Amino acid sequence: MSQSPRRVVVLGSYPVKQPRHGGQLRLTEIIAAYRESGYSVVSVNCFPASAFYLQGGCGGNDFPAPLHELGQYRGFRAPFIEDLACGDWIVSRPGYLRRIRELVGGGCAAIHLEQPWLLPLARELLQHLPSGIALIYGSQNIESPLKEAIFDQYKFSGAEPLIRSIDDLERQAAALADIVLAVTSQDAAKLAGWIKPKGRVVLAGNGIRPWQASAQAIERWRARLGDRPFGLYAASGHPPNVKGFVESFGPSLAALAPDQRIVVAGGVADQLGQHPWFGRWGPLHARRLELLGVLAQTDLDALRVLAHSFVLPTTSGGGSHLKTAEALYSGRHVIATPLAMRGFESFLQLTGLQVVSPGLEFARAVGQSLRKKPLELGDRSCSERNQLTWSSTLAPMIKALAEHEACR
Amino acid sequence: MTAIVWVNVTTLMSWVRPAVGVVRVEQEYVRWLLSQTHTEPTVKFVVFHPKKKAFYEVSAQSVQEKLARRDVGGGAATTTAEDRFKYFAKRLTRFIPPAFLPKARDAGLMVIRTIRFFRGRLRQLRRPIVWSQARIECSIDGSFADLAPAGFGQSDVFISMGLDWDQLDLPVVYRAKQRHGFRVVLMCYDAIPVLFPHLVVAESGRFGAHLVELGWCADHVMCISQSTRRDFAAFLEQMGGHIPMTSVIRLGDQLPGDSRVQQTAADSEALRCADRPFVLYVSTIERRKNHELLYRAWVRMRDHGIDVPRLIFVGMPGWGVSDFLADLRLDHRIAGDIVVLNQVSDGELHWLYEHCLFTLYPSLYEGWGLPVTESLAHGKFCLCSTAASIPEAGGSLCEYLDPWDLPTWVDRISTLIQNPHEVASRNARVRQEFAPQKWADTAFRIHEVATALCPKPPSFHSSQQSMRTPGIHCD
Repeated sequence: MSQSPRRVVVLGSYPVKQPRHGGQLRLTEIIAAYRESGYSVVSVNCFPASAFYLQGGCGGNDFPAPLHELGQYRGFRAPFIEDLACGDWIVSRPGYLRRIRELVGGGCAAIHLEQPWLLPLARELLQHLPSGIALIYGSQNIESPLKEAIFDQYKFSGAEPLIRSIDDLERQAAALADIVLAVTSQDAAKLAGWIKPKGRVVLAGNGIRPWQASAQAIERWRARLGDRPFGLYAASGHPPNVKGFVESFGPSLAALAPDQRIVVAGGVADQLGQHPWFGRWGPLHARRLELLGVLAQTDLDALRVLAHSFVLPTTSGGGSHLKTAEALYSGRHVIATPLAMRGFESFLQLTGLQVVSPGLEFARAVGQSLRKKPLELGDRSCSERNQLTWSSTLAPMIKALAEHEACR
Repeated sequence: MTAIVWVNVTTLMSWVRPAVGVVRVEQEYVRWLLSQTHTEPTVKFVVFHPKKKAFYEVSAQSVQEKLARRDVGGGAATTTAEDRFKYFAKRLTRFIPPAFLPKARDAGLMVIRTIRFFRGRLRQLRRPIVWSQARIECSIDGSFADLAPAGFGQSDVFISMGLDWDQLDLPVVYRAKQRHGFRVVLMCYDAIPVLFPHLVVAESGRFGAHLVELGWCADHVMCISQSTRRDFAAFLEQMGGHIPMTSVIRLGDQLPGDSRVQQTAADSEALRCADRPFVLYVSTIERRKNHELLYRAWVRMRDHGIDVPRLIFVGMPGWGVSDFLADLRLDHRIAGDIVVLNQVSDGELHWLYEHCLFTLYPSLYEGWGLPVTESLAHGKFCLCSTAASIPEAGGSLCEYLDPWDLPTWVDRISTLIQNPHEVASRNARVRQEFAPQKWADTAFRIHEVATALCPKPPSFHSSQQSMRTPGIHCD
């Protein structure tokens, strides 16, 4: 079996056959960026076998881990640790390890570890590969504080050992890597403190793939939603997304007029509908929220075209958000919390963007934006927005790998 | 283009029971309008159809007839569930072949028996107004199919003050307002369901949504007290809603039956209860009204050997009081001392106010306190709760006690019933000093708010326009 040195092995923590949430989309775009730059890619993914992931279908190199085997990490039982437990799970399966080693073969230019969870697997592979293969660690967030916030949100106490384990894992991944990718300058600064002497941190922010909605889908959604302007919030069911929405809008959606509403797409919609915040003023929220749930990409694209405003109610978590990139690129009014703009600081002056603190002020700003005329974009604004495409944001990653190869 | 004031009479046209406070406000405003506008086209009446989400114009004559029917009945219920079933059954027989009529009659009788069986239980649960009743009432003057949709214009004003949280879809009003550009005047009676959700039957989420929509829809919200105005604004502020212009309208104090209703029938239950001295508490019987405090006070006074007067509760039994009503029925210590009168006509109520020793009002929270001012209008001193708007209603002529402080109530009631001179002197002061508010004055003020929003006020203003009675304070 001939092994091309222009090969990259990408280890991902989700399937990429039908990417839906932000992490999946970034992983998909990373794979695409390597391929577009002439690398061949072996994509190996190990993830919790949840309905969400299995619905999207699995590829030949996907290793779904049964959920009941992911409830504990090194003797510590807790919720929300399936991703953490996946790394140990895959390396404890000799059959799967053998298969992955066969896929990787005898050589490659780099192993790209996206998120720290599969670090045990990356280590196993590196041990059996010739030296000089680059390890690229793609950090989407500083994960330990994010996980801590989720534990806090669900009032799960006594998780300190797990938080420490996650912190260790991230530090080790950064220390082992030749190239560390950060999505924000804040994350980059933090990761720079963890890398090895010859390692480097590269800022490769989140981006968007330009969308185009079909006329049919647009007409279908226009018929369903009517002509009233609406704000769009599209996000996964990741707990901080629900928390962010609730905290950003304050006690209720009373700041929106009776003919104004927010269309909520993605997994966050289902969780929002079940949240006590929604139920407290149920009739009011039912009139002002259109909870659509997870949608096909064509439908989501149609909603992006029809939306009058994009709302970015982020109040916790690290990294930067794909939804921020999408909103900024949309050419619509954008109402964002300061935290939602993390990683996109260079776009703070963008026409139509309003950055507002969470609470009533945020809710009122959304209401006001829905009364404004649609944005008219000039050439400058369009060129600024084009900097948000994945090909622009991931270019530093390709450049860094090429430089690493050149030095080798 | 001449402005039209569109008055929503959905509540009046559908209400078949004695008037409660909200119903009375709409009723008396409409009564006043009809006395002013019989020759003028600038005031029109509408009813709201919740299924079609549309307003339909009803003639002034239909509204007048409805008022007349209410007056003849003294406001008491004119139809029962059984009557309504009979009415429909009779209409239904037209479609049944003669050969099947005997069987149909048997089935009908079975249904009537079933209605009788469940009536007692349903009474506790029955909402004061249901849409089917509205349809029945409107069908007296023709079905909705015969009514023309209301044609709102840009210069018009829409005013509504009925049971809007139940009968009106405010987002529909908002959209119509956006489309046509007319102005809207609405009423806020209280914010109690959101302040004390445990004390009311109304679902607080639904009522809160109503208050928020009220803020968005209305150009002007009339509140029935400063206390209610504060509660309304504070709630909207807390929710982040839109706060419109607000004002305070003082409600009338005089029962409309004073001059119109015939002398109460001698055999009425109200008079039969008055075979011994009595004190009166006029209010729907529900937890918020704190009837239980008076029950306990009466038990305590009996235990202390005090010769208590009869305590008459006048009001419709509401939600969450079935155990309390059972206590009243079963507690032998106060057997015959406490009487509940339901379905009391305006005339009977007038008589009860006239003949009581004094009145009581221990409510835990109010939007205004209409029975307090009605009591004063009848020259009767009221021992009141300190809560919310009640001191606003009663002013310096009432005495106020903490509604949670049973010993103080026992003490004050005992003192009053054992000192008839003090009661007489307090009643005399009330008769001397209380300046009642006529409903006509309230109606005039309401209309003044509405017409102030018209680009060109309707021309039918009568000589009352020059009248300047206190009662409205606009920001």
